[in-house]
Amino acid sequence: MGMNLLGVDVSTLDVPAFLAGARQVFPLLALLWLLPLLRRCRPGWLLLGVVAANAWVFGVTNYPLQRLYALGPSHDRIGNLGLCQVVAAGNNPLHTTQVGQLHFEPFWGMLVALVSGFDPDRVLALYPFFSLVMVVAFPLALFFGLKAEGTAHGPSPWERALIAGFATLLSSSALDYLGTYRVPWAKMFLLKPNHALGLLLFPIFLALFARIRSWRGRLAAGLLLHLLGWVFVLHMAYVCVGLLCFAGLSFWARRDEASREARDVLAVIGINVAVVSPYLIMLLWGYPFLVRSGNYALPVFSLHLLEPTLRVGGVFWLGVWGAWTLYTRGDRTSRLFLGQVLGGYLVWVGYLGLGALGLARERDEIYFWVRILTAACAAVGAWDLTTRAARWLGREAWPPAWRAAAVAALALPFALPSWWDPARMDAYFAGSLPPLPVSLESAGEFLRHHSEPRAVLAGDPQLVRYAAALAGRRGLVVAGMNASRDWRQRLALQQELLSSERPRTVSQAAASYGVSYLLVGPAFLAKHSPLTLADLDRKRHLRRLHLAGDPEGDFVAIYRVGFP
Amino acid sequence: MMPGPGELLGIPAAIPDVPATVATLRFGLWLVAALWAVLVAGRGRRAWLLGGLLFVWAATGYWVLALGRPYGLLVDPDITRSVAAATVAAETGRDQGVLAGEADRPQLAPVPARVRRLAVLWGPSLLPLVVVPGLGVLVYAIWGCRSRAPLAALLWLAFSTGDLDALRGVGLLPSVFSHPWPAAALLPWVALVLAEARWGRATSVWRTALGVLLVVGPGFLVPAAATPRGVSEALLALALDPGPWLPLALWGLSRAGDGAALRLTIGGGLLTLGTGLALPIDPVAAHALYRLGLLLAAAEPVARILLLAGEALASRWPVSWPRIEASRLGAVALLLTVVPSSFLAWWHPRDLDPVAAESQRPIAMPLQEAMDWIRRETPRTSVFIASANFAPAVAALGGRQVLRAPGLLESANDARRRAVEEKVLRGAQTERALARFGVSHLFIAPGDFTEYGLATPEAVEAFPSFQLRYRNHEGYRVYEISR
Repeated sequence: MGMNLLGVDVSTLDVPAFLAGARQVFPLLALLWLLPLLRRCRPGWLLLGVVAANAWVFGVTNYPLQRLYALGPSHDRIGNLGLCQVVAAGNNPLHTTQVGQLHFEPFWGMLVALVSGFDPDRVLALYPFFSLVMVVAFPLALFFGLKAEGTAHGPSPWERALIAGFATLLSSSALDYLGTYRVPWAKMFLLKPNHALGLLLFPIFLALFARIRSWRGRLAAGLLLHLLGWVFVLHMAYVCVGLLCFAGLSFWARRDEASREARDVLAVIGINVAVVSPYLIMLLWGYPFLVRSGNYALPVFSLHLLEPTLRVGGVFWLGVWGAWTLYTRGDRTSRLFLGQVLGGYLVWVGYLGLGALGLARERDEIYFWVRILTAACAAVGAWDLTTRAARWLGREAWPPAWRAAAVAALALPFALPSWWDPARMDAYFAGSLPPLPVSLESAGEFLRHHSEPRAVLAGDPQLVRYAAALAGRRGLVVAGMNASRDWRQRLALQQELLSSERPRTVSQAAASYGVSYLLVGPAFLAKHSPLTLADLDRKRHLRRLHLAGDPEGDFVAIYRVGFP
Repeated sequence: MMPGPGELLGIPAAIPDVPATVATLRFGLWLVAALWAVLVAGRGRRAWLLGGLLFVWAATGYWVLALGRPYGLLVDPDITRSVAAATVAAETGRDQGVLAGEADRPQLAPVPARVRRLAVLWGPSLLPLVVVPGLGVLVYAIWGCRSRAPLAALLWLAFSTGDLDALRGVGLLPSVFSHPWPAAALLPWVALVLAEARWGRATSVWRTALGVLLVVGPGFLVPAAATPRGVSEALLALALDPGPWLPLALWGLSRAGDGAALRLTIGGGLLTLGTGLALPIDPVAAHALYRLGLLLAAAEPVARILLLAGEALASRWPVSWPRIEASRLGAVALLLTVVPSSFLAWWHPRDLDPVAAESQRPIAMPLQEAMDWIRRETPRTSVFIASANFAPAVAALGGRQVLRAPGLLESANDARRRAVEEKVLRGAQTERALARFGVSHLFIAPGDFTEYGLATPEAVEAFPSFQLRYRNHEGYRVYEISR
């Protein structure tokens, strides 16, 4: 039986009909949801609708899946789950799935391990729901985080509810799936809840920063910014650039409080850098971000500048209007948010320089960041234009609830759930529909329950990667991980494990990395042809413990490494 | 040789090189939109239309030039079938079908075969250059609301298709290639509706109802296959896909109630609903009529909004700069901002139409050479045996009838034809079999007819009735079969 994340058998589900039905029903439900706004004037109702719409998209996408979303089709997903699982199994959160290698996003693994009670079995059951938590929590964080204190000029609750809606549901557009960076919502929330956690902290940071009154406030904001660095260092960097833009804006507008705001910015960034510096050093040491590559080059004359601007269409222009509206407001929260938007675009432009050097890594991350902030700004623009339109039409008396309902209704056709068709738009969806191959499931279960949590696996790098994701065991050479400084020794050890006839020597070499298991599959054997399972069975330093699948077809064989 | 559309104009096949120049196109369209804005900022009314035509031609012309072959030829079965039928008829001079021994019932039957061939061969490729601009010209020239006609033409030219209707498969622009004849029919269809609404005297409800019938009626005359889309899909196409144009149009209709806009909106809407009920109505043409109606109806509210925006801009306009009317200033702002972000400016046919993507590849030169040889060197009455992969090319490019064309055309007596094919290719005594269908030649390529035991094309030379007449470096061969 093919179970989905809720334990429901969906193996016979008519997926195209299910998806079409969801698309057809949503607009009706959304309009019904908006109706009470005409009578019940509470922004919370609109916010709840935004949260429900996000949960709806999550449900529509995940309900038909018989495995964890993108586990298999996306290497990122396998790698990320592995990074959490090895921590849940009791390994060092500062290390990746590849033994001895430093990890540059340790917070997420630690969080997932904690929430799951350091139980890899429970991680597998809970992991799909982290995306749901993120899509629900991010709009809430935006709503509460952008609340301006002590001023009448900041975003109203209605406006903040719209910001939450636009940032999540209108930051992706219907034809994004054809573009370079695909659909931001799916990539950010479904595929990378670890990065979405950074988004979640962002409005909280803004709220904290906007309320700075003393050194205590600066310290708190700096520490939160440093936490953001541990969660996802790029988001921390974007926020820092945004803070500098905020300070620059204050000076440019010749505001009285410009000096104080500059001091706040420098102090918060300074505290952040001071606290996070050990991590930054670790990152500089462990991550090859200065290695040039053709993959990270941008042609001089490319669409780069148009991607988050003209290509985004109406939402971009509404965002421009929203940015102007924020600029003309007097409150600190609005300027702070505007600074972040400008900072995002500044980083985006800066990528042209990085691209020229062949260093434009992680372009998708800044793209998603800019899209989400632009959509949030578009909500501000839409709210302002609706207010002006009401005045123009002589409808000043319209309550804010009506105006908010009008904006939401007008935005409905462009909102993600109205057009989201994962079968067509999500490259990982189709591959996530069938369950994982039995051989992988079985090998994962065997390792989870019959190997030591700190065991290190050698063998097929692809299988080792799955083993990390399914069982939380680290590997000697893991597919998708960066090459370590001792790469040659590792490869040599792999080769020795397969070919050596000197069991004592090879066991000693394996022990230097803690290698105690060897994983073998048909692709690995083919790569080392004419090696066969029978050849491996004859090695005195290998003892076959488990064989899942068909030895003549697709299988996973697990050997114990060691000479008694 | 079968050139791409660009080569007809003397432009080398490698131009435009899409991956290398698509960024230039996007920036270029921004500049064209700016030029359009400059034209609109001037005094003339025609400039509104002229700038729009330039914009549409730049956006669509690039993709027409990017086609490496006539759209859909040897890619889309329907188009290939039409071209094959017209080519065979043009070459043989009779209304012979693609399959030997079968008469043809061609599209555009009264038209001479050579003209028909040109139409079916180049029509789908070139119609994007004609349909959207042509409808813009009609709106500008005929629409009864003369004061708003330039703005309505602008709106149509810039926003004839939106992201959402394109995604649903009913957007006009991405579908002109694949729905050429319903799209072409829109020109007289819309002209008739606009003219009737403008010059028709009475303005009663009955008159409007008759006008709606004038929109709906031709919808059943334009050839279209019924597509079971479902009523809910049709309703979503009507309610969601137009985005802001629907509320703007409702506002406009409630205030001005222009006759043509009302007729097109209601008629196009009914036709779209009809597609949901699986009636034989072309969904693209139906939706185009509906959208045109919405845009015409929205012209009045949009004009008011642009005036408001223009006044706001004019109040901040530097004194030293040339004065521009507020209404035009609003339109300039629209052209500089929203238009470069429109679907038209970002349209990439490859994304939504796999046939367009495939049509960007030229037909392989060895195949073209072989087909040219067939057309030049074999009698017009020849009948070929060719595999399913190459029978369409023999008919569409070589202009010769074929015994069988699986995948393209299915004959009622295909089993008998297959038996003849097998007999001939197994080297059996074939005189009677050949005579029945007039089979005279074999076109064979490596890998063809292995099911009959032919390991290589030259294996047929073991049979005395096959004489090699042509071969090229790709391994394509033509044999004459003697009886």
